[in-house]
Amino acid sequence: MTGTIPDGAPGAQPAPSDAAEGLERYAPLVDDVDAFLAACERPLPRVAWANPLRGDPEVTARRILARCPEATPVPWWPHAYRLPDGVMPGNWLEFMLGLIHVQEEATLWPAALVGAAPGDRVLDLCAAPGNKTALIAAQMGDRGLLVANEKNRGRLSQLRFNLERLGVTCAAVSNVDGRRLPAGAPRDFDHALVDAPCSCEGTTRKLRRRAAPADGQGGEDTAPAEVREARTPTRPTRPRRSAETTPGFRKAIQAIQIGLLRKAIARVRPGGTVIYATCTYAPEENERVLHAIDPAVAAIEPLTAPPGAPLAPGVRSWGGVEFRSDVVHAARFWPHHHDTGGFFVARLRVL
Amino acid sequence: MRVSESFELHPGADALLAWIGEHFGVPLAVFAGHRVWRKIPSATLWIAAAGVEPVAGLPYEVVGIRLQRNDASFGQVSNAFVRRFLNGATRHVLDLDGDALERFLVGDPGALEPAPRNGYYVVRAAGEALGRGRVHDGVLHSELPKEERRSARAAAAG
Repeated sequence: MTGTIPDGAPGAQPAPSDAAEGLERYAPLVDDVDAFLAACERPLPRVAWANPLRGDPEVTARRILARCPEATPVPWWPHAYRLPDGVMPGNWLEFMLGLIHVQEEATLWPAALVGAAPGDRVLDLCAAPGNKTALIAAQMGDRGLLVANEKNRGRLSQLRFNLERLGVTCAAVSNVDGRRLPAGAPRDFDHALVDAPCSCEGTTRKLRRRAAPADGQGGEDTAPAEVREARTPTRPTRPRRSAETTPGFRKAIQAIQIGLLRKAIARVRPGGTVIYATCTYAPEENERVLHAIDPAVAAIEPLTAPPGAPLAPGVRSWGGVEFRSDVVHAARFWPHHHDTGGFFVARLRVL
Repeated sequence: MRVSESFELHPGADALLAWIGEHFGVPLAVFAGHRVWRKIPSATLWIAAAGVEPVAGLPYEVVGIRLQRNDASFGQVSNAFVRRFLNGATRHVLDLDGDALERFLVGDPGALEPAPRNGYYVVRAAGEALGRGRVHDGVLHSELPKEERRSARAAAAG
């Protein structure tokens, strides 16, 4: 274990009550429940990063700062800047031209962990809307093969829009259920990212009221979802219990998550890496999924925390289930630690 | 070689890239490390990094970025292609600023003095390729996607 991840994971945790409402069920995992819940009520800052595939990122970074002098650099991603609330970079010419991209800070981290290099072959199994895909392409210098797969056909347009706007040429977009990749296919990837579908509890800060049409002329805003999001002011929304946080949903989504992770591991060469990430806090969708992987097939590696961004280690047990010991190497972003969304990430080394 | 059932390497790629290089005045080295694929049956052309190749069990919807809507040996290159590859154009390029730039971005036609010859142009501002423009009878017509024109109008409105 390195960096700022505290030593030792929490011990055995009490089983969460089925009746537990919303985010309070994570009280046993959080160091400061009030701070956690308060952070979930605040708008989520966004990050703009200079796209190195489209011009000199130093020049683009200066353009970001010229647009928004209050922007502050993200210390652990080159030419990325945290924007103050109310800034709408989706209206900037730089966004339209693909010189910049906008996303949430914590979601930079999984792409950073992939560690792709030019010429690598990378599988992004759940790619839409393409934020992390674009970051991986930037790491690759747009050379090699980046398969950007998305099962949900309705989200393909967002993915294609982003990759094309950012000038990514090393990506090939596919539209299959990642769990249905053929068995026995060659282990022909160096890395894989499984940014799995989940209950999305960590995104409560992103929920927004739709703004009035941006052209001020009325009518439906037909912009792609990514553009609408980038130019929409944020409004915090109280976390609420929904169908996506019921035990039944968690059980069903867990099966999908395990299937995706197993398939990704099966397609990566020995020695390659697989990043598993979700935007939920739920151990059922995180550590429990990692626990389903045979330790003889893939090991969970320690992570080095990004400078200034404290991470919390994976938990050893939840709901009466004790997980494989190396789940403590996984990490959570809690929103009150670094003013981000909630996020979970683990890096597995294929054996 | 085919990428899945949907794409094949475009047999006319060399000729097309040579035409584009000549027409817009960019060296062919700009396209080095890329290959041109033709989608079947639509015949749209796509340009992708040389590392893009077939993968078992993953039929592709898209490879790289769209080059043009048909497989003609000369033609109407996409805005994405213009931005990615034609920033350094030296021919058939219009450098705009001020009102002319504003009109182009929001999609309003604008007369240019002196009037360029009819045809397709790379439109640039501050050294950055914005996209494709079409000149007809001395008037520049923006060929930016409708949504981008809306965004530009929204941004101009503050």
